[in-house]
Amino acid sequence: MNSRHAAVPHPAAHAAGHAVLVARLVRGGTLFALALTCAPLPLRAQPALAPDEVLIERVMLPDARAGCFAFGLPGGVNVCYDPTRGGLNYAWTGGFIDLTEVRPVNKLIKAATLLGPVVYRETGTSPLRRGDANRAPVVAFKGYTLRPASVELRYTVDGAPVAETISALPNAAGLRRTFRFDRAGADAPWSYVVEGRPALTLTKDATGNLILDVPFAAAKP
Amino acid sequence: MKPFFRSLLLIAPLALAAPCAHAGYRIENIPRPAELRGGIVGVGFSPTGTLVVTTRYGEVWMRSTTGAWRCFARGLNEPLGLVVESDQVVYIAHRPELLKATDTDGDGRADTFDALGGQWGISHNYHEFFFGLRRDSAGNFLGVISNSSSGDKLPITPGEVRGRLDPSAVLETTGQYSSLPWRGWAVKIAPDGKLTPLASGFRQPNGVGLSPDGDFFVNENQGDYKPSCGLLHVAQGDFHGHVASLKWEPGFDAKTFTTEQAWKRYKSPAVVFPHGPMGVSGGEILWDTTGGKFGPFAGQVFAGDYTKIVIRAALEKVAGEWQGVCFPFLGRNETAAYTSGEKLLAGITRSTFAPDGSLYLGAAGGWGAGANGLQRVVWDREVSPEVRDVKLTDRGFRLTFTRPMSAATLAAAANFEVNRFRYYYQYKYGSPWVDEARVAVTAVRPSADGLSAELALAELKPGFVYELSLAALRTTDNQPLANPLGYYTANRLLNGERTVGGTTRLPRPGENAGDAKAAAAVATTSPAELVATGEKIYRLYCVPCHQPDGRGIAGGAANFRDDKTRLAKSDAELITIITEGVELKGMPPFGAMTTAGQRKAVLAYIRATFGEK
Repeated sequence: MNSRHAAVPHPAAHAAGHAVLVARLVRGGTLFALALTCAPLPLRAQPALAPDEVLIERVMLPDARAGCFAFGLPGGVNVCYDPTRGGLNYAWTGGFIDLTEVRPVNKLIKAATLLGPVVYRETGTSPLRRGDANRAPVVAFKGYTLRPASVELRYTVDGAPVAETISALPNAAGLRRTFRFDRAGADAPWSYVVEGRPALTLTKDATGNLILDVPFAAAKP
Repeated sequence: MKPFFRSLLLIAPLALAAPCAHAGYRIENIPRPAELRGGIVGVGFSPTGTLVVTTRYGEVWMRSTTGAWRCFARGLNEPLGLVVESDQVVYIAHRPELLKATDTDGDGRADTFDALGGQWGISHNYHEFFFGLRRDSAGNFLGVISNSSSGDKLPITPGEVRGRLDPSAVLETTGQYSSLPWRGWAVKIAPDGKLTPLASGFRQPNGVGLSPDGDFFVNENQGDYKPSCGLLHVAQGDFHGHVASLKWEPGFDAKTFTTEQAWKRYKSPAVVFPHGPMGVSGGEILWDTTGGKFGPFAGQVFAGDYTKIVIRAALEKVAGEWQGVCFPFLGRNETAAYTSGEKLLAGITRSTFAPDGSLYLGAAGGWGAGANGLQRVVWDREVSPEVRDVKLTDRGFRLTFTRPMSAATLAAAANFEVNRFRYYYQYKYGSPWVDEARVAVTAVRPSADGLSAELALAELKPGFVYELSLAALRTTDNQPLANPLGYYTANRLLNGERTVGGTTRLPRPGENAGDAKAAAAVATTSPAELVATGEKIYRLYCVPCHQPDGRGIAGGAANFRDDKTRLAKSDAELITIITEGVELKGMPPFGAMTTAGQRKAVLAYIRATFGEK
């Protein structure tokens, strides 16, 4: 546990109060150090942070393009998502991010510190491809929705709408990524291409969605 | 005494008016919950009266009409502007996109964020902002994508940017550049997200506004190719001076482009806010649409500035183009006769009118100076004596006043001091006042009711800023004007006569490049004369940030009195700071705005006044 985290906890956790913060960090395995250093925080005015709420920041992240997202999922699973290419940059487990170098904001931008080890990485161009797996598509980011324990990202791939939901697998074992398409998109062949790895052909589940599980244990840090 | 200096005594905080029972405007601090942290960088009201603010911590907060605060959204990146559609829908201009944040389930917090726009380039450079936000009558959103800053030494690498990286230069710049698409452009974003570039040449216009008639204006900051802050009227195809953004213009050829060509295309400010007297770093532009709830200035424009000042401006269309006058409104005269309550915070660059007609001001530190906070200005229905407006006439100006002025003071031409000046258009930061001259008032024609006067000038030329100094005027009950200083920007005359480059000209060969003559002149003056000259420069350029008492602005401008390390530096070190500035501390470079002799003089004044005795 980075001791500065206690001094500058994540704003959402800070605002939500000590109890919720502790609950979240128990899942991230960082309770002990925090309990020693973090005084109870006021609960007034702020709606309580639900245990399944997803944390979000758009600050500068290490090894990431400007505009990337940091999402903190319940269970101590965190991801850096790049909306420009429509793909994950990496995932880390443990605590969320340390904003000490970021806030209070000043002129220069510095990267936030990840509060846990990176357990998964992807590189390359836009990974989700419709039809020809060898052709990098045009991706356009459309937005996101924060849901209990998951986040939905909306974008288009060569004009086809995609809704991707990211959630954590049990025991912080990895990520589940669910892709939904409109009717035209659902009928097309889809593949997932990460630099240095074989292309994956995505198959539908019973509901017609495509599921991509990303187990951390099998990933190279 | 040169005209440049004659009016300087008017721009420091004044003590001209005798205390009286009424205060005109009362300034209040708005309490915020402890959890609402960071500077306020967006303010607005919903149709139901809910106050909405954004913070530099990337959050959106709402205060209901009952006074209860709640956090509406988090995780944004520099949300510098907003349009509040309802208590459930807020449009937010933040660094990467225009976002529509919606509370779809009615729990008081946004859950769905639709990205509208976002087709511009971004990197990790700290100065790349998306300034906004306004929505026009057709539902389009208006904002400005600002330049990058060379003050950030972090390299911009292709893998860390969004958009096509083009590091090539357009002419010479001294601080700001545009290496990614549409940086330095004003844009229109349709409700479906389609982006249309409107106009180029922007630097860091930290304030946008839309007039009640739908005219788009921004408040630009001085710097390279920007002689001073000012109110820019933005129309499709305009070029507003900073050359870096031109590289994204279709068909633009940087290889053959010259400074003279840039100057000939330059659309200079509709209203110049002279650097110093009218602040140094302007913010959001706001039209008084309160219908008289905020005083006798309906239809006029207000803009906060980092340096504890709110500016008031009045526009008129002359020969088809907007131009007008500006005055200090709050912050320069803090006597009890005029304002009461709290002092303005440093950093007030966001503003909105509340349903009750009070003016809300959001303040943000962290850009080199300033405080974080929220303030409210309430008019107590006492009309302060002010110049309400200045309109151009065939021979000079017609002034109107908020209260009847004494016939005796109004009739004397000597009570109207008029000076004019213009600026250089140059790649260097800012500009000195050039071609200054006193303009004789040949006749005054006061109205019978004392509420107006027409001035006839010995000379009226387009392409100059006219300074009006009116400290000698008195009301019928012997009150001085609360703010006796104004600046009219005469880009055009009523007959349509205009000049190339508006209120600028190009420096002649050798001009502003060396000032050995001025330095030599200073070297021959006595220490007392040196300090006296330095005091004038200090009052013009340094007071807004370092304050009359030398105690500066917390978190930014140096406090010469209490922080002894500031003046412990050698003369050479301090002259370098004054000349080159300290970008990351918000200290502008004054090398292109002052002569070496003036810089030496101002340092002499600072040491004599605030240093160890």
